[in-house]
Amino acid sequence: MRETVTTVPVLTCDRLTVAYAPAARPVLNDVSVGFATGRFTALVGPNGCGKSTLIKAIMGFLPHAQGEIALDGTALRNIPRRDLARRIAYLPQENHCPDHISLAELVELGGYARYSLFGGPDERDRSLFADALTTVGLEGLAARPVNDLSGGQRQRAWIAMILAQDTDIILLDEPVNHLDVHFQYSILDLLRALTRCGKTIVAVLHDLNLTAAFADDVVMMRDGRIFAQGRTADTISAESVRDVFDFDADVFARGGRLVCLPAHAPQAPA
Amino acid sequence: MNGRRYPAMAGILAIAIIAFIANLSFGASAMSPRSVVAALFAFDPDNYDHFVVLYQRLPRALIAVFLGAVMACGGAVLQGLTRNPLASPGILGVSSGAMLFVVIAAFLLDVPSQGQGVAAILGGFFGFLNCLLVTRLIVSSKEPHGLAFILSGAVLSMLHGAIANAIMLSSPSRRSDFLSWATGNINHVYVERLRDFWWLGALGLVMLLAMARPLTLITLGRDKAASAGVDVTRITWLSIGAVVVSVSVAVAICGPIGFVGLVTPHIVRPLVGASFRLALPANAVLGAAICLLADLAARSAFAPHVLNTGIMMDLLGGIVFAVIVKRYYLSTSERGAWR
Amino acid sequence: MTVTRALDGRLIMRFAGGLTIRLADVVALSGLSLVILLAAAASLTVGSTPVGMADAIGILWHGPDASDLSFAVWDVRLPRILMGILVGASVALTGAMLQSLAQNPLADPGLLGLSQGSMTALLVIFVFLPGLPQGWLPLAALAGGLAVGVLLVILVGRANAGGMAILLIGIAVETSLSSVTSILLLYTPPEVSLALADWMAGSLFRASWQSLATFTPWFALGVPAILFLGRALRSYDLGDQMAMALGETLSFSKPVILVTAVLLTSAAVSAVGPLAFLGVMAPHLANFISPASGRARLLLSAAVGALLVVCADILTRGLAGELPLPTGLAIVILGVPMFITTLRLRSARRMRGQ
Repeated sequence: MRETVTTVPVLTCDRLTVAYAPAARPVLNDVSVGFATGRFTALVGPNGCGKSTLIKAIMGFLPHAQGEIALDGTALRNIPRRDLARRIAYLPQENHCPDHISLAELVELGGYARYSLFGGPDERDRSLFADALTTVGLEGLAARPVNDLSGGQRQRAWIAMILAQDTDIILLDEPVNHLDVHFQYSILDLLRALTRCGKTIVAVLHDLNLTAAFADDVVMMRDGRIFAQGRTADTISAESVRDVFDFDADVFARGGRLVCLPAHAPQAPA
Repeated sequence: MNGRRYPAMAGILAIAIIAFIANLSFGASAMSPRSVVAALFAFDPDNYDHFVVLYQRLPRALIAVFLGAVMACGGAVLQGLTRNPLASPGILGVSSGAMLFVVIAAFLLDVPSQGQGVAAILGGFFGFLNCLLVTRLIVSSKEPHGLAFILSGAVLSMLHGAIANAIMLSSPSRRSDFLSWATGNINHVYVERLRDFWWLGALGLVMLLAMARPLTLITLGRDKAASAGVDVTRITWLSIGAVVVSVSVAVAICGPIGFVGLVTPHIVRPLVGASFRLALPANAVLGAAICLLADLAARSAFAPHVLNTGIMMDLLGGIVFAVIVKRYYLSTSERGAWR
Repeated sequence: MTVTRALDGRLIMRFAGGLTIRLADVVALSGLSLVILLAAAASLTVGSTPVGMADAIGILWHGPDASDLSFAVWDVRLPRILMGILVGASVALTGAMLQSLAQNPLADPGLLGLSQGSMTALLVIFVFLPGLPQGWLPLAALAGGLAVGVLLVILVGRANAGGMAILLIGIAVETSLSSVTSILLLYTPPEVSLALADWMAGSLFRASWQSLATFTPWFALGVPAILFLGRALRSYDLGDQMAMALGETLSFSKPVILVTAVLLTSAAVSAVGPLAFLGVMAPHLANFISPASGRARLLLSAAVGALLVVCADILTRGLAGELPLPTGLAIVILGVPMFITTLRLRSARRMRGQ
C-alpha cells in the first residue's frame, strides 16, 4: 500500500477470504480493502485474479466467505436485502433477460426495492427512469423487448437499469466490455460524473488506458490478493504492471494523462 | 490407458456372454446353463426345454442383442457429433419419430408389417429433422446450443408420443396389440421383423465402423477435423443417416426403448477411450449385455407380473440420466447463497 | 385514480395507495375473459345431446329440473366447463411461475416431474389404500409433488446453471417416476387400471360437482398466494443474483413459490390428471397476445390456460363419437401448432428487427 486514501471509505472489506466450496483453495485470500465515498475505483488484474469474486462476495452471493464486509461500519450480513438494494447496485458481467421483458420494464425493475407489494413507480421514479434512458442514449426504444436490441444496446439497457436503482454505491463487473469506443468513453464518463454527485463507483476494468483516464483510485489484484491500491497516477507504473500482469509496459504521462503501451511493440505496418 | 483397453474389451465381452446365457436360462422355468448350451448346439426336437430356448427365448435374446448394439453405437456417435454427453437416439427424436410413423402406417394407412419397417426409417429421419428445426426455432444466441438441442428433442419426443397415442385411441381393438410395443418391449412375436431388416442395422454399424477414424477426429472439433482433411459435412450426414436407419429398424422391432443409447457410451468411454475404432465395438457388445440384463430383470423382478423392457430401461435410465446431468452440468463453482 | 404514461408510452392507471395497473393488461384480460365466456357458452351446446345456445342459456337461467337436457347441461357440461377453467388457469399459472423461478421458458410442472410425482403418490394410494376417501387424495398428491420438489432442490442444489440443467434433471425424474407408475399399474386389477388410463392422460371426463368441490378450496388457497408472489416473480425473471441485488429475499420467496406451484399442480392432477404442455404453452401464447410481466403475466397466462382447456374440451366432446380423445391429448394437438407458429413469428420479427 503506497498511500492511504484521505476520504472516508463507505464500503470496507476486512480480511476477506473466499472459497467456492468449503474445503477448496481460496479464490480470495485475506483481502482488506476500502472504497472511498465519491470516488471511482477500478479493480484491475489478470484473468482469474479474483476481481469478480470480490464484487460477488461484497454482494453476499458467496456462502463460503470469511471476514467482515461493512457498509458505513454496519456488517453487511445484518442488512436486509431490500435495504441493501437501496444502497448498492450491482451489474454482473453477463446478463440474461427473458423474452417478455421490454426495455421500459427492465428499467422499471431498477426501482424494485422502492415499490410496495402492489405498487409501482411514482412520478419521481418515472422522471428518473426517463433520465436514465436518455443518459445511455436509448430513449425512443423503451417499448422494444430487451432481447430484440443489439449487443451494445443491451449492455446500455442494463446500465440504465442500474442507474434507475438510484443507489449511492454502484458495483460493475466489466461494464464496457461489449461496447464500441464511443460508448466505452461515454459510459465511463457518465460513471465519473456520478462521483461528483457523491456516488461511489467500483468497476472491474480490463483496459489500463481507460482505467488511467477515468478512475480516481486503482486496486491491483493478483492471485486472490491485493497487490497495490491507491490513487491511479501513483499506482499504475511500469513496475506494478510488470509485477501484476507479467507484461513489460511503457507507462508515461502525456497531456496530463497516463498512457500504457507494450514495451516491445511490433513495428507498425508501413 | 492403452494397456488397459484390451482387458477391458475382454471383460465386456465376457459380461455379454454371461448375460446372453443367463437371459436364455431364466424365465418361467429356470434351466441350467448346460442345457441352454445343449439346446443351442445340439438341438433335440423332442426336448421341451430345448424348444422353449430355441423358439421363445432365443428370438428375444437376439432382439435384445440387436437393439443394444444399434442403440449404444448410435448414442456414442451422436454424442460425439453433437459433442454433448446427453445426446442419444431416444432423446433426439429419432425413436419417437419412427414410432409415430409406424403407428400412422399401421392405423391410418393399413400398411403390412414389412412396410411398417420402411415407415419406421422414414419416421426416424422425420423425427431427427424435426428436432433440428425446433432447435433452430427456440434457440436464442446466448443459450448453450447443445442443451437446447437436447431439450427440443425431449419435448418433441413427448409430442410424437402424444400424437401416436391419439391415433392409437382411434381404434381400441388394434390398440391393445400395439400398446406394449408402443411403450417399448422386447417380444418374440416381432422376430420376423428382425429377420427382414437385421441387415439394414448391420449395414449401419459397418458404415459407422468404416468411418471410425474421421468420426473420432470430428469429436475433437469440426475445424480440427476439416484441417486434417476430413470432409466434415459428408461424414456427419452419412453417419447420422447410418444411425437413423439402424435405430429406426430397432424401433420397428421393439418400440421406442431409450436410455441404453445414452448410458452405454458413458460406461465405455472411461474403460476403452474415445477412439471410435475400439469404442464402437465395445459399445455394441456392452449395449447388448445391458439390454439382455434389462430384459431379464423386466421378466423376473416383478414375477409373476412381466414388465415391459422399455419401462425397466426408463426406470434405470432416468436415474443414470440425472447423475450424468449432475456431473456434467452442475458445476459447484457457481453455487450461491440465497439470502 | 390518475392515468399517466409509462416510459414506453403505454397508459397506466394509478390508484390511491400506490396500486398501479397498465391499461393494456386490463384490456387484454377483459378481452380474454369475454372469449372464455363465449367458448364456455358454446361448450354448453356440444355433446351427445345437442342443445341450442338459446335453450342452453334458458336451462341455466331457470335452474336444474328433471329433464334430460337439464341433466346434460347442469350435471355434465357445466361442472366440466368450470373444472376446465379452474384447472387450466392453475396449470398455466404454475407454468408461468416455474418459468420465472427456473429462468427457463420451457419449465412446466409436467417436464419438471411435479405432476408425475403427484400421480405416482395417487397410484400408491389406489394400490395400497383403495378405501381412502376422495377428500384425502389432494393431500396425497401434494405429498408426492412436494417429494419431487425437494428431490429437485437436492439434486440441483443452489447451482445456477442457466436454468437448463434443472429441466433435464426434471425430465430424468419424470421418466423414472413414470416407470414406477407403470410398475404400480401391474398390481392394480385390470378394470381399475383401465379406468385409470384416461385420468393418467389427463381428462375432464369424470369432472362433477363433487370433484369441483374438492378442487376449489385448493385453487382458492393457491391463487391469492400467486397474487402476492407476483412482485417477487418479476425480479426472478432476471436471475437469482440479480433478484438479490434488486432487493428480493430469496430464502423466503423461493420456497414459498415452489410450494405454491406444487400445491396447484397436485390439486389439478388429483382432479383431472396431468395436462402436459399446458404450462409451457399458455404463458407463451399469453406473451404473444400481450407481453407483460409480474402479476399481469400470471393473470394473462391463467386466462389463456383456461381458454385452451375449454376449447380442448369442446374438441373432445365434439369428437367423442369417433375418437375417444383425452383432454390432455386434445390440448397438445390444439396447442402445439399454435405454439410453434408463435415461435416462428417471433423469430421472424426478431430477424426483421436486426
